[in-house]
Amino acid sequence: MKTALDEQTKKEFSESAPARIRSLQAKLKAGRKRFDRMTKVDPGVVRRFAEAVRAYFGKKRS
Amino acid sequence: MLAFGSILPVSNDWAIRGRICVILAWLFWELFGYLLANSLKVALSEYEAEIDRIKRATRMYVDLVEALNHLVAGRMHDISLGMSERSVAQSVKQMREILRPDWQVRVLLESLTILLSSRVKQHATRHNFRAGIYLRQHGHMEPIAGYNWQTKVPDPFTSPLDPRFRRFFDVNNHENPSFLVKCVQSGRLMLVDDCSDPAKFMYFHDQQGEYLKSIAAYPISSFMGQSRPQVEAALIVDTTIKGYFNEEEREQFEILLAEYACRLDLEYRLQLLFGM
Repeated sequence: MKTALDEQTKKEFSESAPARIRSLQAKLKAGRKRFDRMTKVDPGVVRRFAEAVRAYFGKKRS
Repeated sequence: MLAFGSILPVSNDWAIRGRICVILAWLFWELFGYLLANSLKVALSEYEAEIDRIKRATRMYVDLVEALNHLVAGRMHDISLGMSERSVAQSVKQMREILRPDWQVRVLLESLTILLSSRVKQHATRHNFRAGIYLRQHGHMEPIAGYNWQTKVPDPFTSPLDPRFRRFFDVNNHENPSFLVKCVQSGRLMLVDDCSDPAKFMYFHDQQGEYLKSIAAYPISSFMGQSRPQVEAALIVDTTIKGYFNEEEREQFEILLAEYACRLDLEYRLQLLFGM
């Protein structure tokens, strides 16, 4: 079985790599954006809870 | 409190005791509040850390799906191009030229390194990843394809081919086998978070310490349809980032590497089919 690439193919592969990398990185970025949008937690929930705890216990100690 | 002690018809002794009780109750309440606030703070930070861990793990699956989708899209594009040039492939040679499994193997390894690299935080810009596939040949593990993320060079692995180190890649070496051979012998995913620890990893030469800080090896059994029980191949990934391949994330790495190993196996089966 042929395993190694010949020099010409290696060169061709290395030269075309940046375009492939950019393309995949853009896809990953888009996927993450979509994921972040889907799993976005309302920051107000945590903030309001933290504020309530601080208001009750932390007034004097803050 | 003073009013309470002076208005009620109780002896001075009892008034003092009452005041002490009130002061103690107040101290207890303050202490209770302080402890509760602290434990809530600790619980909140633990909860946030757990959310971060889950998000990181889930992001990896999302990345994996996107990367696999990208690979399929690329393959479909190649096939479309081939079909536009000639309506139907007339021979195995033409199909081989369209599908190019030997090229595709490197694209897969490249995709794996990009995916792993995308999980690194922005500040670590000088990092590198290398991925390679090794095959058992004549009792030794030999590299058959590879990729270096930083240099974009395919097939970067040289140590196993060096006669000085060849014995470490002998699959029957139980005395001082290389990390890769240990993986093949154990038949399970192996991870080393810190390669500089001699108990975990063995460098072949000093320069390796500069570019090899963490490594993972995934065994592939029944590679290319081999029905023999032993592991025939292994997928190996290393990086310059210490601690990257860690036991805490074992399950994630296992799923990721298994997906890529399966697709690499497919490409090598195509190579066999085309008689390459």
